Amino acid sequence: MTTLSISGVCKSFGTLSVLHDVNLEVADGALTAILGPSGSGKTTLLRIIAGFERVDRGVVRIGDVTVDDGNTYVPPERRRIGYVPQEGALFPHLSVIANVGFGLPRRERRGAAVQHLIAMVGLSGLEDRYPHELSGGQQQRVALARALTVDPELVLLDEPFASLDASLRATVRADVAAILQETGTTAVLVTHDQDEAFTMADHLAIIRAGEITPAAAPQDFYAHPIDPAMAAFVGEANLLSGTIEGAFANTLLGRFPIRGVAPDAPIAATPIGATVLVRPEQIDVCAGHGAGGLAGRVVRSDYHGHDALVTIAPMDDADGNERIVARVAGTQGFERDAPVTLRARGSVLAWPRPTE
Amino acid sequence: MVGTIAPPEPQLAPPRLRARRGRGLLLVAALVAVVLQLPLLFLVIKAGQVGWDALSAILFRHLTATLLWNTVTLLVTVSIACAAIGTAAAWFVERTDLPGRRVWAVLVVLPFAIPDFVIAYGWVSVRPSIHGFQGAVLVMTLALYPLVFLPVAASLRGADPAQEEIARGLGLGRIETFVRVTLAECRVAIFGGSLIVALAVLSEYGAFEILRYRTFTTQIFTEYNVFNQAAAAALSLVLVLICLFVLLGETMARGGARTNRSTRSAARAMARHRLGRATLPVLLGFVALVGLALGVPIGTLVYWTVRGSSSTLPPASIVGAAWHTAYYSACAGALTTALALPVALIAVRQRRRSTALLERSTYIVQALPGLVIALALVFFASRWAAFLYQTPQLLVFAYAFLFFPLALVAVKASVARAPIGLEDVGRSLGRSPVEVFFRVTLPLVAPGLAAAFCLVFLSAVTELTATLVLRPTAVQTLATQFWSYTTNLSYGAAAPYAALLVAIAALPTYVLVRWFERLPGRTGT
Repeated sequence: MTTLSISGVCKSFGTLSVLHDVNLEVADGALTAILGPSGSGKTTLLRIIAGFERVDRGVVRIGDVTVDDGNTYVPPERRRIGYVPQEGALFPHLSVIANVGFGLPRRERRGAAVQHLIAMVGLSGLEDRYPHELSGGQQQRVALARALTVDPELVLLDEPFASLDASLRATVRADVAAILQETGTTAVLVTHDQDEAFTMADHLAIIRAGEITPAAAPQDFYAHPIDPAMAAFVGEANLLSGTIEGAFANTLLGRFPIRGVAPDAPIAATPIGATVLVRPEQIDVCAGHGAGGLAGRVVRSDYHGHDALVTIAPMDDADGNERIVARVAGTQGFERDAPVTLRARGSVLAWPRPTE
Repeated sequence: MVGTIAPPEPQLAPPRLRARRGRGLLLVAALVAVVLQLPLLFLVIKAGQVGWDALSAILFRHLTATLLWNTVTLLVTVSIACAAIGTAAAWFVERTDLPGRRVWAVLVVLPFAIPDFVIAYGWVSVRPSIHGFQGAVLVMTLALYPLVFLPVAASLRGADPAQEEIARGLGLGRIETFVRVTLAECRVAIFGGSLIVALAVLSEYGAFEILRYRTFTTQIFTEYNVFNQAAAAALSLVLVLICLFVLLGETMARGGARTNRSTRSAARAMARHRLGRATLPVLLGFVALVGLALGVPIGTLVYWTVRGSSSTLPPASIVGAAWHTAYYSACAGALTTALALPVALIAVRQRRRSTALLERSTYIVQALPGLVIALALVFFASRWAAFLYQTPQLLVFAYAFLFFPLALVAVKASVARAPIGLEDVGRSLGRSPVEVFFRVTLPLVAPGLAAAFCLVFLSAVTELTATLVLRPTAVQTLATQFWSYTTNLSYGAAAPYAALLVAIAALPTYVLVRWFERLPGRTGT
């Protein structure tokens, strides 16, 4: 069953069109992430779902109720949606317990349900603190507990971790995901952080310039991006120039089968110029110039502890601009200018290049 | 300073997204802005009626040049003196280990609560020889330096301590750091404060009358009293032009403000400079400043009150005067705050070019001295609304025009503390807009509204010029009763009125200072 269904939603502010024909289905009990760069319209979409903005055209349904179709409009207070905005937006004049209990009837505001939620987000003992006495991570947890008090059908998270330190972000993120899962809450997360979207989401939709892709599993986006720009947006990508020959792509790294193309695909008479996606983890790097593979030299190495990204310039590159990024184990160190040999494996994606 | 941009104000949602909501609010705010332009309009109509020939005959006589010279020299001298004293005092209080600096911080601001004409009265009754240019400089500087002290102290308190440390780290000496970093940081506050001082000098009447110093304002009052309306209108026009010029400078100074903190967190406590052997001289300086600005007027008030009435005039009811003062001022406080709220709301929450322009247009009344506003309203009432003439309503309206910019500043600061995102959250939690207003918006905005009310109340209590012109017949406020005794040289009879005036004004001043101190400190979320 779907909790949230959006179809054909358009929205513009004055002459600026922010969303065009957006469709999205959010499955019950799952966490769906909407990933997009800033200015892509993702926050506007979230605000439309919450009811803070109205659609120009299109339909928003929550459960089986139409909440906005341009005519009917259910105001935010009657949508039962938990909203966790950027930086938490706690009420600065209220203590933790008063913040969490805000949405409840007066006599329940300090009741067991509130205490339970505070305990669940791990803030027992801090009930009487004020927001400015809490750390960023604690504020974010209070905001989540507050959103959960009204037993929402849907929780909306608007870049909730953007203001946290990198070290804190991972733990708060995991905690929030665990709480949402524990309570079986359906959630929509909006973020520009690809890592965040991948680690937290059951389903992912990517929004760019007001247009959204259908929601799918994160792995699908990584393996089958619809165009080169999206391939680069969802992760490190080598976008090499090459040619398509039937079910195979030729690049300076060699010849690879193309994913999703039948092996007996017809071969065009003239090779088709193409952009070929090879992920860094498909490339092995060996020290020295060996037989087979592509000879190159290291121009840069970004060490991440568990692994490292090595940037290599091919030796026989005519114009000298081609760079190939490979992911190697963190234990494998490479000096700058060290000679290496690259060997790639697996299958690739290829997009015919528009002919001029 | 080309190429640096002030960082955008943190906001929970792009303000542009708000266009749809609050159209009614925009309408109300626009109405307020239009009403605020009325006094200026009345003045122009009046001048138009007088006609250019009559105006030019008045403007191009010798007296006008003398008044211009008197006004401008005084303005420049007092502004510079206030800038120097206010900045120095603020720096010592905020940045050094001056003993008793918390007490000094309050004492130094207190002269703000004493009306300028009471300070003038204090000095003249002690030393009748004090008058003319020197007297005017002395009295106005002592009365107005808090207008520089307050913004500069706030700016020093809000400044990022890292900047001075970096300057020292880059090898700048103490004095060089002070000039190139500290002063540079608060130069907007200093310049802005000095121009507010200039506006206050331009609109002052009572103190100059006592000190027998002639400026545009005193001359306008004289012409009004002898029913020379053409001359009053002509001089008002020039005065307003000078004021607009000063206001323009102030706006430009503020527009140039560029601040950038290295972090968003609350300011670290700044390491204070040690005064060392300079402690004693600085302390003596503070004693002298407070003694002159506060001690002399308070001392004379106490002296004359204790010595008793030397007047042969019948004693007027001090209770009645106090009641009228408090009543009119409270009405003015409530009305002005209510008028400022819609303008502040759209200025903060619907930030666009059009709303910014609307907000700025309301500051134009700041260029209108109380006397000019009063005369404009007299003109309005005499032509179109005789039933309003000499009613409390008209006086309260004059106060509202006069103190609108003050209220707007305070209300704006408080509205900024209640971002609209909080209301969104409240509504998503199932609460109605009305309930959210009472449980979220109002508690956050209320302290600022109270501050705005106090600010207007305090200013209205100590207002003399417009009150003299517009007060209902047979009604005396504390200020006007004090004035009629003082102009009869009945210093003893006048003293209790001034003492009560200062006492009533001191309370809101205290509240304001407390609010002001809390402002940058509380960061919330």
